[in-house]
Amino acid sequence: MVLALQKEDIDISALIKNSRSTKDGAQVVFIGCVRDDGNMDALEIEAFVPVAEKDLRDISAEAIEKFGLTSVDIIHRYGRLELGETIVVILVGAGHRSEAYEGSRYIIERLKEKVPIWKQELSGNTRGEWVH
Amino acid sequence: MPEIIIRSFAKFRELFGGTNSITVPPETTVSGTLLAFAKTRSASMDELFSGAELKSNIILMYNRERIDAEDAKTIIPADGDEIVIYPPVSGG
Repeated sequence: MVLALQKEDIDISALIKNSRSTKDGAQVVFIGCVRDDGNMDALEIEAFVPVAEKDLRDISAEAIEKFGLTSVDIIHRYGRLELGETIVVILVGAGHRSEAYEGSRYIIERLKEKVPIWKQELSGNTRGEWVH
Repeated sequence: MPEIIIRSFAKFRELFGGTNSITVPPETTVSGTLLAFAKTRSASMDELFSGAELKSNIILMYNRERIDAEDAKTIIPADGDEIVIYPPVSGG
């Protein structure tokens, strides 16, 4: 299982291949990406990395316990990300699709409410609002 | 007198700087330490405090463990301890 923050882009195909096991009847991939809201051309993502990585481990353990998942991978990027780039990938494996979908949804909601990561809108050289 | 490290993230980092330290009298609580810190910066009081109370939307960590505003009134940091302050998160 990969639970990490990184600046580099995410190799989703490799993540899926490495995560899949014969226990899986389903894998669900959630991808969060930089949306063009029309008033920005990039996002700066800031993270308190050591605490965020611990939180990802905690959330992963919660989801495995709660939904009986076979695997959880979460990679969240930080630094400057251009429009359309991948921000976060959540990959879960489970015996059946319902647990996989529910586990994936649980993880992204917990991540958004807890993990110390922040987004700031960038337009040219101007730093804009912190997104909430 | 203990020297306490105060780390800030996101909007608070822009306003206060990423890492600061402040020396406070012995037996000063986390809340008292932040109040002393806020008084050293014009932007800090309005951002962090409503009167003498820490604002409810501020997230606090003491030595990398989350605490709430009530904890902050009782925990007394020691020399070299770390307080982290940040606004609501927005990852994902």
